[in-house]
Amino acid sequence: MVRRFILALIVAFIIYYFSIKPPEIKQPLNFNHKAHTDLLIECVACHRDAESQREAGISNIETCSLCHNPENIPLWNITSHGLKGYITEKRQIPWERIYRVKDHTLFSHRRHTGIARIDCMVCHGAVKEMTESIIRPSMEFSKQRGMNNCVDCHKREKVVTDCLMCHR
Amino acid sequence: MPKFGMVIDLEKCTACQSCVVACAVENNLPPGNIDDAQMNRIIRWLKILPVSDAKGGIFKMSLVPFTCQQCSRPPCTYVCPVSATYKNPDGIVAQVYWRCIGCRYCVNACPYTIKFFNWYEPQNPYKENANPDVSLRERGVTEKCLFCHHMLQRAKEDARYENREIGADEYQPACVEACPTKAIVFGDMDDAQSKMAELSHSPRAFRFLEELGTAPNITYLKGTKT
Repeated sequence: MVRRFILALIVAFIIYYFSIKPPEIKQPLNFNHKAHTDLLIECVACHRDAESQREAGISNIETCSLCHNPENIPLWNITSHGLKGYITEKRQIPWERIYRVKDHTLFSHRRHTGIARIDCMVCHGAVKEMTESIIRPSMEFSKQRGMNNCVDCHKREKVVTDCLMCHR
Repeated sequence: MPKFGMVIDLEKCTACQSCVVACAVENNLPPGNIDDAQMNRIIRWLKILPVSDAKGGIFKMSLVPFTCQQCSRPPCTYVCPVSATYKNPDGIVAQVYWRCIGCRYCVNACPYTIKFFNWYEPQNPYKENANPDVSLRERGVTEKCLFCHHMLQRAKEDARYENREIGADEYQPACVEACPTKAIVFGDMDDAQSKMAELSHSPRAFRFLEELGTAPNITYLKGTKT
């Protein structure tokens, strides 16, 4: 009896463990990545610092209003009501941050995209196909494996595996 | 691969402690208080060490800026059970805080007693305004001077991004930058042309506890008064 109970507990734990997902994060606007990338807009056009800085950055109304402005009538007509509000009132869009790196790890976008020229999709998955805002981290490798994935790639590409280069 | 080292000229050093402050601020060191000091738990990666000498019946006291000697054969790395401390390819004795289990073998193995154990959670003044390049060490890990390795990383990254070699003065630890009398010289030991190499072969040069076979990479230049 006790043995069966323990077995059931273990099975329940395993099912629970594999069904956990990162918590959903609500964004203030529903951003359609696909609609933008279909027009051949590059990732760096909005995530401007992805190749030159440690953090990729997220665009705000200054960038959006380059295209979405009241003078550009055909585009303005199909702009979502929410974005129109932010742009006309000149308020910043309060985007929620989705990806966070642990405090003891140093991840630099510049090293990976600016120097090594790795495509964004290798780590972030098929964001280009997304029609809705990202509600939870889509990072393919972050699911179960963590650092193993970094080290696998670093070994395969014969780049530095010195702990101090990423851990501080 | 360059091998980084330091030369500290005790003739030029005025023991003003600018380097101590610069190091503490750059690396988010806990400020400490009286109770910590009484228990010998103050963490300073770079400290001014009072060295007394009584040769020939004359008592002499000198103040020496003292930091991790970045030994070529570091005793601390041989005792670490989890490889949290090791000699990295740049010649820096590394400490990976997240891997450290806090056994303090290395603290005891270091003949220079310049590795520190964190007895407390990160303290307040730095929580908000900490240097983002350096992590706040958790309670229960050992920490040490890394020659401001985050600056080396940044210099390397800048150089590779702009497709060039690292300039000689591009990477300087915080203590070197802060020194008002330029008593601390930092550079590549392997570069025979550098000022470092010239100074380290000076007749005034000596190294601390060299007889232990640790082969320290910090060279001191004897002053006239020391």
